Amino acid sequence: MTGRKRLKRISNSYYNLGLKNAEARNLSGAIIALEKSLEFNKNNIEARNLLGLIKFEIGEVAEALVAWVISINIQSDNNRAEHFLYTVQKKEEVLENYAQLIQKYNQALIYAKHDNEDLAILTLSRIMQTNPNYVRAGNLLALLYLNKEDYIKANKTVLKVLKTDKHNPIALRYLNYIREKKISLDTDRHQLRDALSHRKLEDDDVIIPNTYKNYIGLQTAINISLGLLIGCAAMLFLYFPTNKAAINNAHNKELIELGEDLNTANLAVTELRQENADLSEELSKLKEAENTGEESITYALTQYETLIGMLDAYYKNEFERMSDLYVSFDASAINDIDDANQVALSPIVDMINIKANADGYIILLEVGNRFYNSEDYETALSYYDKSLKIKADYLPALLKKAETLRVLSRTEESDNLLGEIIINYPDTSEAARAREIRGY
Amino acid sequence: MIKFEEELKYFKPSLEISAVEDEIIKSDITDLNDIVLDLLKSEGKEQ
Repeated sequence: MTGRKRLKRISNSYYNLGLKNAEARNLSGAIIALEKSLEFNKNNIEARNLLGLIKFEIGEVAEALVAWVISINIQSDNNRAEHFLYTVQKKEEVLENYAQLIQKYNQALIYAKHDNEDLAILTLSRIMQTNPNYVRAGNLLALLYLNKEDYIKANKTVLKVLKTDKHNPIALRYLNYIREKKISLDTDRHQLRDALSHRKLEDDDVIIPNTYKNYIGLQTAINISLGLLIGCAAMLFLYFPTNKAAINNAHNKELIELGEDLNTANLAVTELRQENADLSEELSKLKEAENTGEESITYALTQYETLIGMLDAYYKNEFERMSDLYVSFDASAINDIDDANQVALSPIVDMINIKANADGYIILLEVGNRFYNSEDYETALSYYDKSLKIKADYLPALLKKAETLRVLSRTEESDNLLGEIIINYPDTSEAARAREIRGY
Repeated sequence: MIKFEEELKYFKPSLEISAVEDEIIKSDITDLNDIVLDLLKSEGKEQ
């Protein structure tokens, strides 16, 4: 697979992630993924168009226009961006309205930054009435309400933002803050309902009878007694049971309503927890994909830089530097680029390979010997290893490595290496020297 | 804890519609492929 195809594939993966996020109304996540997609392939028209659409949805109409115009510049035929642009621009007053909303938001931001918060709130409230999807305006309005400790309005505004962009990080942070303050619309509503649901008789309440007759003497006493008896009987048999039932009914209704509210709140909490978990999962996936992509790109770029360095050394006849670089070079990460420039790297890599395999390992042995003679044994050892990396059975390097290990008091490793030379290459001068060092 | 002044710093102005044309002109549209090609071409010129 060529480098360009690989980049296109990574770009498409990010586009798919962006599309999935957009479908789940995770617009913040979608924007991050789509911008990444365009970093890997600027010509990914679908990614650019979707980015524009999302920007439009969150009220950033100018940014949407930029994305669509660039998209059309890249691909003028059969491009969905033409339809988007036509739809936005066909009525002049629509575009003008959006332009005014953006200007008002910018003005409100200036008000907010210059201690004119009331005017900022007024402006932003009007903006949100006209375009409730304007995320940036919604978040600023919520912040201003939070600053005024008007948590009810802040909560309302944050929920409006989250309706547009479910996982907007700023809005979620504000929502958490409001919850920390233990203030929510539901709590207030319940408190209000509790306050109004019972109306008890107070001590100084007076019940005024409908009619009044002036009785005197025994008649009066009898009437009063009869009245009391009838009153007591009525209370006992009629009022108490009815009132009890009414109170029970009222309480039952309240309990049902409270239960429903509790269920709704629980559902909302569950949903938010789920969304939070989804968000964390998506974030970790995104980070993982980003890290993997970036690591492989960084690795490939390092190899290209190494190749360029080797080429430079080759043409300057600095074969020592070239051989040194060659040891850390991974040719498999280098791809020919198949575009109109016809930049073919394989012949360059082949040329370097031939030179390094012809005498690169000898040059590195000589460098190692220089360090050995100046008693820098650790550095000498690293150069013998480099030499052996190019040619693993290069006997002079093997022998010098064994000698250096011995000087460094790594006797066991040295003995093993000398043993290998003696067994595998018995008739060579290096084997004779190895036997001499071992003492047999 | 949310600090109003700190939070306010994160809010940037929206791009205005009158500035769209300038934004398109000055936008630097490059991707990784362009970066690698530039790298190789500049190396070729040096040689």
